This record gives sequence, structure tokens and C-alpha cells, in this order.
Amino acid sequence: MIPTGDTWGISGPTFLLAYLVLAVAVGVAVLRARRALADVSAERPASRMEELPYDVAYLNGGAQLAVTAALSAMYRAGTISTAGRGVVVAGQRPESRSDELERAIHHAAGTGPVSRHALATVGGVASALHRVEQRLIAAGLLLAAERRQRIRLAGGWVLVVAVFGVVRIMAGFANNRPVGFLTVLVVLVAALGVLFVCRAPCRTRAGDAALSRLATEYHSLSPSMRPDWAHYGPAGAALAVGVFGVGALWTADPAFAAELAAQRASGSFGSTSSGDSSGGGTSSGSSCGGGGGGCGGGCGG
Amino acid sequence: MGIGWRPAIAGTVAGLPGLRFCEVIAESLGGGGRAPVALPRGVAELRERGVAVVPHGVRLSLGGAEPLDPVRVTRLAACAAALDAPLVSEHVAFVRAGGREAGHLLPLPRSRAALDVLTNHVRSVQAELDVPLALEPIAALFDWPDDEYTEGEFLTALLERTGAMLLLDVANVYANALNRGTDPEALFDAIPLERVAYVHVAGGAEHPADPGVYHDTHTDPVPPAVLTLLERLCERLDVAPAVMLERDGHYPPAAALHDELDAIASAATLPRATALPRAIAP
Repeated sequence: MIPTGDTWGISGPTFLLAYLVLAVAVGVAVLRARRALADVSAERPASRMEELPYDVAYLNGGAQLAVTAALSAMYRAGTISTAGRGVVVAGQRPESRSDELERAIHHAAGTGPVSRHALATVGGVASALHRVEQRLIAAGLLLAAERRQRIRLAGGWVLVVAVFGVVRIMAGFANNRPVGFLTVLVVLVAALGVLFVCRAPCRTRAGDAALSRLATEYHSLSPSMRPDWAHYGPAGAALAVGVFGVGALWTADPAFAAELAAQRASGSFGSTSSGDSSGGGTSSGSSCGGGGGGCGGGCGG
Repeated sequence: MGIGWRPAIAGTVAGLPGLRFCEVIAESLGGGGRAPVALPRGVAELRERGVAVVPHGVRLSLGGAEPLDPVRVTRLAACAAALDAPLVSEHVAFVRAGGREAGHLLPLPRSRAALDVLTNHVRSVQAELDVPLALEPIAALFDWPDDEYTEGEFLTALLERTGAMLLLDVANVYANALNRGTDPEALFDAIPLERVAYVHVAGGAEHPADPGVYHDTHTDPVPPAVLTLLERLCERLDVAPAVMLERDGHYPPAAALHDELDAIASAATLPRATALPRAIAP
């Protein structure tokens, strides 16, 4: 068949270039929109975060890291012990002025051995964790689900560009014009769109900044320093896990970490490392997602 | 008051408001050999705060029969320069012989030959350093049979020949006296105390498998008798010397470490490291 004229009166190379410019422009705009949406002002600015190590842990790695931080501190304090294979049992009674999360975990483990993984879903523990989450959202450190939804939806514009590319491919194909380069470009644009729509940060920019500040200020607790938890006590252990992730637990107390069957890479969220360059296991860049089926599940669940 | 800076307790050391100086193991300062000296962040922050940091060498083997390793000597000088240190310290000991590393500080025979070797080594280190060198006599569990000097005579001769300063470890003095059945204060009479640059205090204990023998462990609390000996030493000096705690492991909770630092400060009549220095009246 003899080739007919240019599709839509625009030559292939011209369209390819224009499409590339459009895709880059929309991609940049979406990135900026995502950034702006993640920049939330605080309703109630956070007080000294280091005094709330489980909030730090939740901010860094969600509910599971908050529970791991609490267990690390409670093990030091003797208020829990382990029965191996990630099973936790209650120990001495925590002090009445201890953190709500610790008391809830002690109560949950007091009714019988309980799996570390299941703890976060047990009534009192789940409530305590919910309150931590709400506190972090109100402090402008963690993004609310609705805000994350808006961040993901902004990525839809990239998908619109991809759909436009598909229409041109179909038209070009019908017009018997070569569409190879455009197809490759459209696949890349579509992949980027899917990534944007599926992934949203969990922390606000202030949340990232808070974690990074804590990692700098408390670098003496980072795994690279091999901090002595017997010296720093339960509060030091909680903050070390909160700021530096499960890697801190593996470095400071490998026997307890093994008993707890803690995963070496913390199941953390967000892509910002909290600053420890020693490979100690901070946020490993796995975005939230998971849960909720398909993409875009909640943070920290 | 000072303390030995160790990574495992760096947060507590950084949190001492009245800390005046600390000591860092020279060989732990990044790289080694000819690599540039890398100050750990905690040490660099202390320097920025105006806390003096003294590099404390443990591997030069000043008393070894073999020639000194020039790379190690240059390294010690580089550490002092990187820390802008007021002085450097090393041990009166040997740590290797015949190419074998002992992994410990071993005592020298107090002989004329050993004194000559030691003097030469100390002088060659001093030639490389831009700051004074302080020498620390070690705790020894035994004496060599061919000793020609008492410990006091040996140290006095060494300091006179080299002009070096003295890093006096009262826990070592206590350990040596206890294990030899002698009076610890007798050494104070026999050495030039005016050459004391600073003082080490450390904990120790009798090893359960070795009853009657006191080990200078650096991992146990400081015994009251060592604090008393520190008091006696300070009574003999016109001005309270700089004193520091050496703790190398089995760290107590931060509060207990604070108490130990305060007890040392009290024995030496020094301002506490755990409290903010008193404001100077306008």
C-alpha cells in the first residue's frame, strides 16, 4: 500500500517531538503538584519529637515499626519477653506513667502469647496506634488518606497524556504510518502515570525534614556507632528504632531481634532515608501501597 | 573533668555540659596507615564546642625491641594535628615482638637496655610531634625477673631523659600495688608528680577465676579505693590535675555513669562534667 499523507496533518517526527515536550511538561507539572500537595501546614505543630519515640517510629516506618520500637524498649524495661518465632509474652507491669502504646501492648500480651505481627491489629494497640497517626497528621508530619488520594489523582494527567498517545498510535496505524518510536514513548509515559497513580508519599515535607533532623541530632544512636542499649536504656532503644529502623535493633540486640523475627529491612514507608549512611536499615524506599488491594493502600498499616 | 570518647556511649559524652576534655583512641580515627585522619562526627562536634581532644595511642609499642613503625608515628602526629590536640599520649609498654601482635599492652623489663630503647623511641616520636607527649605506665600482672630499677626509678629516669610528660593512671597504680602487695602511695613519692599532664581513672575487679588478683578491666565500676588514691594524689599536687574516666565496655546506664563521673570530680575537687560550668560573674 502506498503511504498516504501525515496523520492529522502532522509529520511523525514533529509529533514525536511535540509529544515528548508535552509529556515532560505534564510530568514536571504533576511532580510539582505532588510536592505542593505534600507540603501541609500543621494544625498543631509537633513538640519535641524525641520525647515521643513511637510517633517517630510511626512516622519513619508506620504501625509495625512503632510496635517494634515499643517492644525494643519494653524488652529492655522487662515489661515483655519473647517466646521465640516472633511471639511476645507480657512481663512485669509497666509503670502507670508509661506510654499508652506500651500499656496497650502489655495488656494484649497479658492475655496470652501473641504474635508480633498481630499486635498492631489488637483492639487497644490499634487504638493507640490510631491516635499516634492522628497526632502526626495534625502536626503536619504525616499525610492524611484524603491528601494522599489527591496526590495520586494528580498522576492521572500523565495517564491522560498516555491515552492521547495511544489515540495517535491507533490513528497512525490506521494511516499505515510507522509508530514504533511513539509506542515506546507512550509505554514509558503510561508506566510513569501508573507509578504516580499508585504511589504517594506518606510523610509531608515537614515529616521528612523532622526525621532527617532527628537522624542528625541522634546520630550517636545510629547502627554505625554500635550504641550500647544497656547504657542508653529503654528510651534510647525506642528512639534508635524509631529514627534508624529495625537495623538499629539488629545491631544493638541481635538475639532479641532474632527472637522477635524482626525483618532486617524495616517495612518502612516513604522514600526519604533518615540519614544513616551505614546501611543500618532506615526507610528502604518501599513506598506505602500494599494493603487495600491493587495500588494505593494506606500508610503504615 | 574528662572521659574517654567511645562510639557506644557517644550520645552521653556529647550530653555532658561541663565536659572539658576527652581522649580518643588514636588508632580508631578512620582509615589507618597513610589514609587521611577522619574524625567521627561526635568527636568533630566536641571540638567545635571547644572540648579539647587528646589522641591516645595504643599500638606504637614504644618499649618494643624492634624499630618503631614510621607510618604509625606519622599517623599519631597527623591525629594530633587533625584534633588540634594540646598533647598526645602513649604507653610505657610493648604490644608486638618478633612480628607477632600481642593484642595487649605488655610490661617492659625495667633494665638499662630497655630504658635505652624506650628513650630512643620516645625521642623519635617527640621529633615528629608538634605537641608534648605524655607517657602512661601500664598495669602489669607480673614483673620481669631481670628488673634493675624500681618502677619509680625507671619512670623518673625515662621522664628526665626524654622530657616527656606523665599520664598517671591511678587505677594502674592501685592494681600494681595490690597485686605486688605494696603501698600504692609509695609510687607517688618516687616519681616527679610535677610532670603529671593528666590522670586516668578506671574500674577493675578481681577475676572470679583468678581470686586475689586485681584486673584493670575498664569494664567494671571504679572501686572506692581508687577514688581514695585519686584524692591522695590530688592532695600532693598544687593544682587539681585534669582527670578522666576510662570505660571501655559493659557500660552502665547513663545515670550510673554520671554518678561515677561526679564521684571522680568530687575526689579530684574538679567541677563536675555533668553540670553546666558556673557562669563567670561580670
